Amino acid sequence: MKRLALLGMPNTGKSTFFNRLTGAGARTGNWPGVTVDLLAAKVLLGGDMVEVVDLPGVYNLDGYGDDERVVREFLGANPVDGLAIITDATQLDRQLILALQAKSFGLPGVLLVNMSDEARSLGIEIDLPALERQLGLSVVLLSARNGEGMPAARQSLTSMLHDSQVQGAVSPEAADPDLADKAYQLWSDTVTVPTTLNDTLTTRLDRIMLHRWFGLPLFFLIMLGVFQAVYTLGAPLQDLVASALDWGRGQVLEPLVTLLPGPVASFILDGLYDGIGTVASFLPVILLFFIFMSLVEGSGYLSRAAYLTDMIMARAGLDGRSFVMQLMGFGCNVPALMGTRIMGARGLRLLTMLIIPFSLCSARLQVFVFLVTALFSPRAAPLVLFSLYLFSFGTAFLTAMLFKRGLTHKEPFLLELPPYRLPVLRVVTMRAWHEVSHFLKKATLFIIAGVVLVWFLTHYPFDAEPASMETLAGTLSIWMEPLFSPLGIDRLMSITLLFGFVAKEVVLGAMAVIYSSGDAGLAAAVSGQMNWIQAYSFMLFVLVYTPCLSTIAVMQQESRDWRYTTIAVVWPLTLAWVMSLVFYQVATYFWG
Amino acid sequence: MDEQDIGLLSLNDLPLGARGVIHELADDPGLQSRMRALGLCHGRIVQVVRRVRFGTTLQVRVGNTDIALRAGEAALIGVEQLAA
Ligand SMILES: Nc1nc2c(ncn2[C@@H]2O[C@H](COP(=O)(O)OP(=O)(O)O)[C@@H](O)[C@H]2O)c(=O)[nH]1
Repeated sequence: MKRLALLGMPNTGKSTFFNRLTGAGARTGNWPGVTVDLLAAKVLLGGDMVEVVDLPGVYNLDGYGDDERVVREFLGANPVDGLAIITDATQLDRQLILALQAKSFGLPGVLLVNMSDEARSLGIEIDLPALERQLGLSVVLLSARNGEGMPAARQSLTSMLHDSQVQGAVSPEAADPDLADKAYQLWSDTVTVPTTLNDTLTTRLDRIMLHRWFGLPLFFLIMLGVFQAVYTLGAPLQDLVASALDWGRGQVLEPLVTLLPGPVASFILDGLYDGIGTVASFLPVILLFFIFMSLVEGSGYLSRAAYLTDMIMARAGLDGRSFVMQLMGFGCNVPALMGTRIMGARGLRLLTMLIIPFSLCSARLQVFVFLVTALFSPRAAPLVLFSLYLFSFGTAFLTAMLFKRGLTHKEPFLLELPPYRLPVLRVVTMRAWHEVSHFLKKATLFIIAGVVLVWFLTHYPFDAEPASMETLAGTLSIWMEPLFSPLGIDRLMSITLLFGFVAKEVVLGAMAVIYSSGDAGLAAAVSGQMNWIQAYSFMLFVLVYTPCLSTIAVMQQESRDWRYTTIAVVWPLTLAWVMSLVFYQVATYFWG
Repeated sequence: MDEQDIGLLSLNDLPLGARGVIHELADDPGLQSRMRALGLCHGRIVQVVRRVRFGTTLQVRVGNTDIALRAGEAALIGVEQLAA
């Protein structure tokens, strides 16, 4: 089977073209020599099956970015029969350079000049025969969004692959520095642009969106809108998933396991099944998150958001896109961590992933609202909650300041602001779907294993009351007592922290079990057990330490570096301990 | 030609709305090739479109491409200002 690789700069409509060419059958998969998964699909081109691989969007092939490396590694380790080089017709002045670079490998290629509709309305004229002649590649003008030119593109790709003899991996070398000049010369010879390009729709929209005064408020408004859309639509979906799982448990699984010995039944119900439930509960928000984030990204607004907020973040070694993901993390950390993939540079991504878990997500909020209501006066409650949000931002900022030296030390900030464009819904939902399956593929095992481990700790020995002092968890809490009692966290509460490691959603349920109070009596039980200083110390700890197993799974999946993941777990734990300790000791001294 | 003769200034110092011809790029090869890929090449005309409030990040335009960059990167680009 012949193999075709899709190459192009970011924002040229590469995904839209890939989607049009390949339809719904695309899958992400592993490739030799490449550390990330790439999207690929098999399509029929001129009677032959062809494998089409979507490479990450890159500005050049010799660059320092993560994505550039992936493209180099892919082409270096995987033979390709031809390249489809996709470009933006309105920005050929700088994009032809990639075509020249690709051509220098000696691979057959077709130059796809996308966004023909925009070029037409801007009055840009391209002399296709001259371009073909001078470049030595066939050139097709098309619009991936409305499908114009697609038959011609298919035709060209087919005949290129048909004629292609070369089947060898290539090693992209350092680009010839004169290539940019050659590309520009080529463009000047073949493309005519009307003298004034100034008042485009994008320029006019930017006057509002990047306005000196309204730009930032608009940014927060848009983020709020996206946030609301993702999480208000997500909540009922999550409830639906939860009730489906409950139903399966009550109606199917429980009757089935009654025949099994107690511990095995418990393992299946409270270990395996709960693990699967944990994974499933994330799927709706991941899906919605990526639908809305791809809309924001595909529309061209995301890089503007980065530009607008850059001054806030530059100091901390981050960029505006980090800020967007941090904000989205206040709903759920997991998709926000996955969303950092839009940032090309690895250091920046790793630093951003380190701070996202400090965002006070909705699962933690649930715990805090409960404790605050149980232990604080109605007048103090909002202030207490607000202070937790301040700590959330504060710890994120502190972490960024501490780790930026090692991670993003010298990264330049040079960001394209693509024209505003209408995203295609099919492309957006496809992308979201791929993210969901990626999460399922990469994180499921880890999460289930973690849930089973905590199940074991809290259920073994099996004759003991679950989560009681007689279980392994109880023993563990005895060992941990010297660590936790200076924080005002007693042994029972430290067991709930163990549960909280799996997911904050289960903390309240675990408390109800541990205090054997039932959900209704829990508030009274808890307020009888601790004073406000202990409660606040506990909340600080819950805020700062690992949000959940799934975040760890995703951090490992995205970084592929156990050392990094270890730091990402140990550092927040340490910080949580120190903060709770300081708070508890100081507060007890003054008010205790 | 001496830098003084053509009055080279950094992209940072180019006034808002003014246009200039690029004469110098960053020395770092990686950064330089990223600049080129975005259209910031020798001999091309660049215009300062906008500076965000409170910030040092600026927005420039080359051809039909808009680019946001920090003052640190802009300082590495030497331009000759064109008369309005
Ligand atoms: N006007 C126009 N917009 C397009 C065309 N192809 C893609 N787009 C839009 O350009 C934006 C970026 O496209 P996408 O495929 O995500 O680009 P990628 O970053 O190269 O993968 C999206 O909003 C698309 O809907 C086209 O031919 N014409």
